Amino acid sequence: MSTDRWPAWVYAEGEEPDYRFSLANERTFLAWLRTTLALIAAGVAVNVIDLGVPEGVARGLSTLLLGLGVITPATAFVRWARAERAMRRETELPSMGALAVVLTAVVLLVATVLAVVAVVP
Amino acid sequence: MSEFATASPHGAQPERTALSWQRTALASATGAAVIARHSSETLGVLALPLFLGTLGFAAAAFFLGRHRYDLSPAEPARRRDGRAPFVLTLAVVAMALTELLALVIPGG
Repeated sequence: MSTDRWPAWVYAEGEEPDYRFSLANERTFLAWLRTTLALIAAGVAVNVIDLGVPEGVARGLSTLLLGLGVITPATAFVRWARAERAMRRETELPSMGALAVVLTAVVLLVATVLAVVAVVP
Repeated sequence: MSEFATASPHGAQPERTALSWQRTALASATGAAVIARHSSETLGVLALPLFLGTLGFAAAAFFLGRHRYDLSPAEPARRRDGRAPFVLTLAVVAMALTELLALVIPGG
């Protein structure tokens, strides 16, 4: 089936899914992007605000959060596209894969370091 | 095939999704401005084209998202494809990369 909808690897096969599911898939993608904006804001805040941590540690934590700010939206787009294709094919939805684990681990790491610094004199 | 597969989106779903597009695009544009202000101390004039590029992606996503559901009844889903998600992804990635760049260059 030819299509002018992009990307073709999503829209070139299968049938149009129930629009309610398609719109829910879009909103999930947008929620991931807003989560990413929060991660970027946290990355900037850790770098800018004096939290009492050594400068190298603050820069490291900030780099981790901003690195997630690059990886997460790209992964969210791929997840959106794979979910849309799966719905068109009427197959199982893809999982989040390792992203959710990495995201949780980094956020917990940053929070733990900041909490330890806050309570240790 | 479900009757909803070929129908034009109606009810609250399209409105809710369009609002979600708009607030994400607006948040991206605001974030781009804050990051441009912050990174300009380190990046200097380079921060301006990075900001304008990010803002352009966010604006494109805003308008693509806004008109995503103004469709002809004959082709209810044709305009709803991956272009708007892709440009908004680029906007957010560009924002994070700008701040990362400001962080890693000497003196940042």
